[in-house]
Amino acid sequence: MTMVRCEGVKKYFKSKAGTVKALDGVSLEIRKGSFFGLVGESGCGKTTLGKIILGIIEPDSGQVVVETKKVQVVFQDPYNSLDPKMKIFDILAEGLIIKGETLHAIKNKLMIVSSLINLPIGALKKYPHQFSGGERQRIAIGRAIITRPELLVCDEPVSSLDVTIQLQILRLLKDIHKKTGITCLFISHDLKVIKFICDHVAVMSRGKIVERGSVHDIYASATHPYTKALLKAAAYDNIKNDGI
Amino acid sequence: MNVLEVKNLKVYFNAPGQIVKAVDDVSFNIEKGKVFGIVGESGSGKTLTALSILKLISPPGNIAGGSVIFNPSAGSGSNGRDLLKLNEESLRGVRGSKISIVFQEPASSFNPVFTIGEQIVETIISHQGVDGGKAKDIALEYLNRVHIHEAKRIFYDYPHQLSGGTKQRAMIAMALVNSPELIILDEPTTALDVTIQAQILDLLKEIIEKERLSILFISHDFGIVSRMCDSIAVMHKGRIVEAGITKDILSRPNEPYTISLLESVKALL
Amino acid sequence: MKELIRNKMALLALIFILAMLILAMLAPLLTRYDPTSTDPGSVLTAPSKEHIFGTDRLGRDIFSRIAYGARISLAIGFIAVGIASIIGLLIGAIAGYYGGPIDYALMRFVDIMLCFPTIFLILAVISILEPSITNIMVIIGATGWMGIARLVRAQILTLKERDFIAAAKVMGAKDSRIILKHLIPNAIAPILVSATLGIGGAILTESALSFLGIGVQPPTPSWGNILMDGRSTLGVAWWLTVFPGLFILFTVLSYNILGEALRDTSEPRLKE
Repeated sequence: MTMVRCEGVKKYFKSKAGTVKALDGVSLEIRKGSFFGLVGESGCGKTTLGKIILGIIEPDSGQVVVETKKVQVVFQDPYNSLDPKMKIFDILAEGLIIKGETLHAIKNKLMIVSSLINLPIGALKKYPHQFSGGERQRIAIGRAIITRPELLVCDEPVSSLDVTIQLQILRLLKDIHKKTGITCLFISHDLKVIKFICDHVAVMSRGKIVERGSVHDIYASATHPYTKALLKAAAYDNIKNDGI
Repeated sequence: MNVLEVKNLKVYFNAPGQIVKAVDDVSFNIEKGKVFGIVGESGSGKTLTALSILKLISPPGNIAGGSVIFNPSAGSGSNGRDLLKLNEESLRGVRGSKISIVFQEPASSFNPVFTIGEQIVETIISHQGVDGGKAKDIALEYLNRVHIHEAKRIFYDYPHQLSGGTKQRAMIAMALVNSPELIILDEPTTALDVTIQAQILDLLKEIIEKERLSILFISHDFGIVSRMCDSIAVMHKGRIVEAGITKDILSRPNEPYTISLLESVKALL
Repeated sequence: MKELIRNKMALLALIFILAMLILAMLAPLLTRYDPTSTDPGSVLTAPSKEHIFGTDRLGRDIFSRIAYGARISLAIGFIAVGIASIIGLLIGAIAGYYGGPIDYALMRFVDIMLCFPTIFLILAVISILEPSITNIMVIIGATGWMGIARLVRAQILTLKERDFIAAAKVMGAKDSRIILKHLIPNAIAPILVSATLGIGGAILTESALSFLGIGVQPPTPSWGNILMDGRSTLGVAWWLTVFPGLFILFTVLSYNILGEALRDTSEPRLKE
């Protein structure tokens, strides 16, 4: 029932200025099928934790157990996450090629995924630079889900996008989650987005988790002062309610 | 009374084989003492509009038409004149003193090789003609006014030693020191963490109330704009799609683009 | 304005290069004489209707020697640069991708190679081995890869931090796949510039070697050894020196101009 378990994870980065404690003893548990949010401001360690769970970085101490090898990722910057020299067909098919699937199977899965992410016709022959940020992010999502991962890590997937596109992408992710029951780790600095899409959330600050719980509970009755400050600040983006 | 009247502003970009109309016939007025917001998504032309007010557009872009009249009712100096027709020397007298601008990226707005104090003092001296000692006093006064803790120490710090929020406060102080009549804020909080954003917005509200300045506030964030501005204009693909008093636009949007924009924002509340 | 002028030059350079390629490839069709056949009756004749570039001291037609020589000189240029590019690409990619001690060792190797004055290294090797065309190609290539290696390494260092590389790793791509399919295609652009400029250099080096007598051996013509022939008769037969000299000059110049033009186009445009 548990997809990801972290116990006492620590990660330090050494630089000329000294040692930065990116992660200072983080423990959390992500249950299978949940849409788990990791929220915090820049430098809190959420991206570092995401990379450790993905296996891109090794922790300095602590335990990380991921119950599946089928993990995929969607990154923040749609202009950086797709190989500019590859056609969309190859980008989407890469995960399947690495697994050694037949061309026939690849073409089939590509068709299914293309319609799921609403790719325009003829897109497969094009290159990333011919698409907008939102479209590229959809391609990145397509690339991630085509191999049927059991765990999907999304690192600020909508932060670089316009608000109307953000909604599209979030709805797409929600849709995929509903249809496949995939476990999602959603990293973001934006509480509003977390509220929209996640069921559970852990709040991070300076390398530690300061509060965790269901999204509903956190919003209704947060206890940690940092969480409260975040909630208050997030409300600044809300439209002033007179007349609505 | 208006502090700024923008009429038929056009900013075009020359790309091989075509002309991109980044700002396409934009007109609006900013009332004295009020906060005017321009809201739009990326590529809408809002930042270019702000930059063209002070003729800060560089090639391959160029201001292809329109006028920007500063203080239309007054008559002396740069008042009542079309800023777009001023020469560089007169413009320099306007930039940083009569009209100042706060950019999105505090990191790139400060020169990394000079201290914060040196840069603020420089703009005071060049516009107010006072001596170094008096300039330093004025600088410190404003650094305090933007609630920078230990202003005396920050005065001697270099930009890279400051946090994003402190840098942005320093930028705002620098924009205020010469008592401008109009301040342009281009996405002043977008690059900051959410908790710092809230602090800076509080600071801006306080300054707006105290100093009775006229403000042009540019943002992609409808929520922030509606909180800070008296009237707003919605920009899309280089044009103003809808404009009016904030309350009215929020409660009764007319144009389809505005409606869809508001819907997306509300969906994420 | 500057762009237009530069582009016209680049166009001229391209046309000249293509003309040279055609000359080299179609040499048998374009020349009337065999480049190695001697004609004791027409020794050291000035350019005329029969021999448009004149003849040398063995009566061989200079124009056909230059045409056939183009084959040799250009081929050596291309293949030497090809060898250098492959070596540089591999070393740079491996150093850049793996970093750490591998990178350190490889880059020190590059530094050592760069310490040698290339010409003397080539001279030393050629004098030990025989100066065959293959040896010349290999040795020029084996001493000219260092710049490319550094360029490639620099490109790879920035590229490997980009998200699409991380995404490939998460997808399970092996190192070889990442280097060959993702990193190298994205790092190629500066190599094209370097290689184009390198062709000019390789041609010049070969000409120098042949001029010194340790390059392409007669009777096989190469622009360099035609020059060598002309040394002793400079005062009497200017055509032996001027024509091959001009061809070397303009060919190398054209490759340089083309390379610079390529560099200008691949440089990022004004940032928005």
